[in-house]
This record gives sequence, structure tokens and C-alpha cells, in this order.
Amino acid sequence: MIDDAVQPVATLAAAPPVLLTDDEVITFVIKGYHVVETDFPRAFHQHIYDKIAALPGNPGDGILDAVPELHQIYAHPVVRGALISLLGVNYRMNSHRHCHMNTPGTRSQSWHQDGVNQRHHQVRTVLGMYYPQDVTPDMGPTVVLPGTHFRNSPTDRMGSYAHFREQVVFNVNAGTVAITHYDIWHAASANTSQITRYMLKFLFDRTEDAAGPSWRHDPAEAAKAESRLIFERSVQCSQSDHYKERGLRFEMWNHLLGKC
Amino acid sequence: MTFQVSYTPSDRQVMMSLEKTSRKKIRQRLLYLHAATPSIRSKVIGMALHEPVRGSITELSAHPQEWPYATVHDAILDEWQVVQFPVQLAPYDDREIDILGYEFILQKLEEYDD
Repeated sequence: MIDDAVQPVATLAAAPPVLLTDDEVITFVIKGYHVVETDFPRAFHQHIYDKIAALPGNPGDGILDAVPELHQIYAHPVVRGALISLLGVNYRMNSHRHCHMNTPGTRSQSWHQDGVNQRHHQVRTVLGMYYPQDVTPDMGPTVVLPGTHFRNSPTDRMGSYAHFREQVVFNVNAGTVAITHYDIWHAASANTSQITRYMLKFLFDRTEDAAGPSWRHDPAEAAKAESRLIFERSVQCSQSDHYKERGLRFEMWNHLLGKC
Repeated sequence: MTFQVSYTPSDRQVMMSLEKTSRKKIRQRLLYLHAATPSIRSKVIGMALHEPVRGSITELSAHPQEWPYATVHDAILDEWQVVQFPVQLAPYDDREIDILGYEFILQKLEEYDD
């Protein structure tokens, strides 16, 4: 039985969170996303999939009431650990969430950033995208473009883009949660399969500025990893963009460290 | 500021002549190439091809794409013509970054059955 195989929310929430390392946090700063896999039985994810499929419509923000098992997904120690690492121990689940239903034959979305253009180069809100089924390329996976969470670009100006050479496709296993910076450029690709692809997009907010690192911080390791903020490219771009990106990365990193 | 192509009278004559002799329509294929810098020699980092065929679509696929041109210059060698160049002024803001790449729009005029 599924209920026997999956721990209740209270038990999951009491388990020690799996916090990120310095290197993983720096990777998030550079690329704008971090992917974790929950280890619930596949039958649990299938149960969630079937429950969503049986809904009479899309309940919008009410998806958590309609499918309360989602509490368990976001209470899993690897998910909580990543959220604590990026948003602080007092992070909060936002009241807005959405079940994206990418049905067979659905055209792709255009590249976009959520919300309006008031970018701050801190980690104040992240998206937690949960996939209750395996996602293959023909099922219309979410596609993101690394490093674009620093780009303050009106969505209308992305209208002529289609493919980027370095776009990252979330071809993932059932139970994956992709945690992305709120500002990252993303889109659902075309679903040419016969299977509906669900993605539960939940938002999580920081509630207070960082007083210090909220991950498995090791100053020596962090010092070594910091050079990545200078030299690593998220995607190919002009040199002048890269110089500016370096400054924005340090702004985000220092904010996470509680230095500003 | 953009630089856009305009057809000369001789261009139009050639197109009309082609249409008369072949009874086919001359249509404009459009290729958007996003390059890392305003130079036609810099690397192409993004691409969108628009075919002048009714019902054709240009959309984001999760499947690996073929990248026929490493640079805009490569596309020019393959007979694509640049009809719009990116603005070459340096970005004003010396701190923020916005859109990715520099957009070149290229065309090929080809015959199509109507």
C-alpha cells in the first residue's frame, strides 16, 4: 500500500534536511537551478499522477488541497535541504502554485521569465518544479537557459528566440524536483507524445535576509569554489556581458553569505 | 535602430521573371541567428528558422538540434543574405545584463509551389 511505503509529512519534516555544499550553492548561483530526486516509491508518484489526471479541471492554487500528497514531496529532506540552503531556515511556501498540464499535441511555450522586470540578483524566490512521471524529450519537458536569472529582459524581447545551443532540458525521472531561481528563462517544449506531462510549480520565498550561510558551509571549500564565480561560463556570451555577470554573481553569493 | 533590406527595381524584375517562367511563387525564408557578439565571425548561440509555408511552425523542441552554421559568416557562404543587423552600440548599462546574443536576420528567396 502506498500509505505504508511513504512517510507522513510530520516524519519527513522532522528528518534532517540534506543541505547543499558550497560547491552546489555556487553552481546554483552560476546556473540558476539545482535538481534533486526524491526517493519515494514510483507507485507514489504514479498515485499522484493518477489523482491529478482524474481532476475535473485545473484547480489553480487549490492543487495542494486537491492532491495533499504534494505536501510530502516538498517535505522530503532533499527538497527541504535545498530550499533551506538557498532561502534560509525560515523559508515559506508561497500561496500561489500551479499544475502545468502539457497535453499531447501542445505547442511549445515561448521563452519567458515569470513576473515583471524588477530583478534584484538575490535569491528571494525559487520555483520548485515537481514531475510525477518520467519525462522524455517528446513529452514536452521544461527547458531552461543557464545563467539567465541575471538577465533583466522583458519577455516580449525573447519573442524571436527558439533554440539555444546551451539550453538545458529537464528529461527527468518521476519524483524529480527542479529548483530554479525565479528569474531564470524557461519554457515548456512541444509535447509530441501521446502522454500528458504534468509539472507542479510551487513557489518558495525567503522571509529574512541571510545572517550567514544556511548550507553545509566550509570556508576553506568555499574559498576554493569561489574562483568558479569568476571564470566559469554559464552560456556563451559576449565578454562584456560575462564581466558584468561576474559582479552579479558575487552580489548574489555575498547576499547568501549574509555579507550584505 | 536597424538596417532593413529594400528590393531594387531590378530585384523585383528578377523575382517577377522567375515567377512567370516557373509559375511558382518566390518566397522569403527567414533565419534568425543570435551571435555572441555583433561580429558575423562570432559564434552562433541561438537559432530560429521560419519557412514560408502555410502551417509551418517554429517552436521549442527538447530534441537535440542540428546547427548548420557555427557563425553568421558560415550562413552567408551558404547563400543566406543578411537583411537586418543588430544594433552595434555598446549597452548603456555597465552593470545589468539583459537579452542574450546579437540578432541577425537572414533571408533566402526560393521558389515554392503555391
